[in-house]
Amino acid sequence: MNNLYITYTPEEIELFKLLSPLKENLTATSKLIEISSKIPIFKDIPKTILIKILKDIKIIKYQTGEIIIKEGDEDETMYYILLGSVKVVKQNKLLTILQNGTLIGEMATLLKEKRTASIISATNNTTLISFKIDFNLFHTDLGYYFAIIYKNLSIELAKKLLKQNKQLIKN
Amino acid sequence: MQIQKREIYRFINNYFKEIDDISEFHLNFFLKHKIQTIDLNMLILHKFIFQAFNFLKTNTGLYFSTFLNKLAKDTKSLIEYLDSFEKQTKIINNIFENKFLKNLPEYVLLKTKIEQNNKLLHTTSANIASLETQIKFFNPKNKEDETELKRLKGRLVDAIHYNAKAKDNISAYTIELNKIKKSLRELFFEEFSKAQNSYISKLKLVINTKLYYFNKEMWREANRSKKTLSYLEELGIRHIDLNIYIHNYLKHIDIARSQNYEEYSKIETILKELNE
Repeated sequence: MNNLYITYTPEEIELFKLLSPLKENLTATSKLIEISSKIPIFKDIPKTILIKILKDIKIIKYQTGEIIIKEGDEDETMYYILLGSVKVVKQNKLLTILQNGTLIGEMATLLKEKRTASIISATNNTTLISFKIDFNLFHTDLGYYFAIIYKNLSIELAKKLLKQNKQLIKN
Repeated sequence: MQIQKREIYRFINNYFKEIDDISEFHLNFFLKHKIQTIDLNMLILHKFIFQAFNFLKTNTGLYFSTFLNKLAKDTKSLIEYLDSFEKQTKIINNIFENKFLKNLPEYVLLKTKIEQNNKLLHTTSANIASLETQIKFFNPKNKEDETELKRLKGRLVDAIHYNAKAKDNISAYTIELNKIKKSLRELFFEEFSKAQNSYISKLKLVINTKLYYFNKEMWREANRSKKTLSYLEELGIRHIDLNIYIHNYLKHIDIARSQNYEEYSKIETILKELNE
């Protein structure tokens, strides 16, 4: 059992770093977790917890006009715009344009419903990080962290609402 | 049902606690020290890697560093643990029947009740048989004997009553027991396999990462050892790595005819990715 918890000296840790792949691998789980930890809904969630609760984390690039989410589809993937902007379209009507730093797809995850609108890339090389949250772990001792995620999600949704209200008043 | 569902989650949580703690310890180490994790399926190569490790140690007289020996022990222990864990969790039905249900309070209570009623059934059946024989051969000669016969008949009626009751109870408790079993089985299997896949994939990520660094350090040390290099030179090899090692090994196998053809093509793919 002790062999399962071997520790390394600072010099040996440096050796690990020396042996790291030369090219920084953006698809490596540790790198993806590092990027995901910057998403506002994961504020105050330790990276070691994120590695447990996030599934299918990927970085995807889209070109202008490419469909990211199709209205009516059933899927629980969430996206966070790292670079570029996207159009939100419902029944061929443009609803809004979202910039980098915005979370998308959270409605379908929360409501467990079909996608309510389509999301289309509005720029070339729009870069998103996509992920799924393993809500099955809610029943485990990770429940506390899910409470934080729900709180953060509420804040993000409230911010979105506020922004939309301001836009409505403007128009 | 809600309580029983909670019991499933509690059980799964406890069941996977050890593997979870192990993975967390190592993933935490990678994240804390910003050591890049490796998503390549290095596990498929682990036999070759350890074979090469032993080959270099035994044949070329190479003394590997403390770091590499430590990493070898670390990686090997994790692989062995994964192996035993996969074996242990292979037959979910055994875990459901022998570990989960046997510790579910409601199920245990019903089982105990059935056992108690089985005992009662056994005792009353024996009593009935004995009383029936006694009554059959009882020949009352006086008033006292008639009272005794009455008493025996009374005891027989009681025994028949309790016997029938025990039978009814056993049947009712068995129905209830099967109902619990049936209602929890599907959810248990679903949740257990989900957790199993998730924990195994986390541990595999740890092992793949450790194997990657172990493999890289091993060949780095081998290519720096004069002893090893002169041994290899005699074989006409100037530089050695896993790719060369495996290709030399595979040279002696007719891969196309081998039953493991599919596995070898996977190995080729990983080796290609490793070299990129």
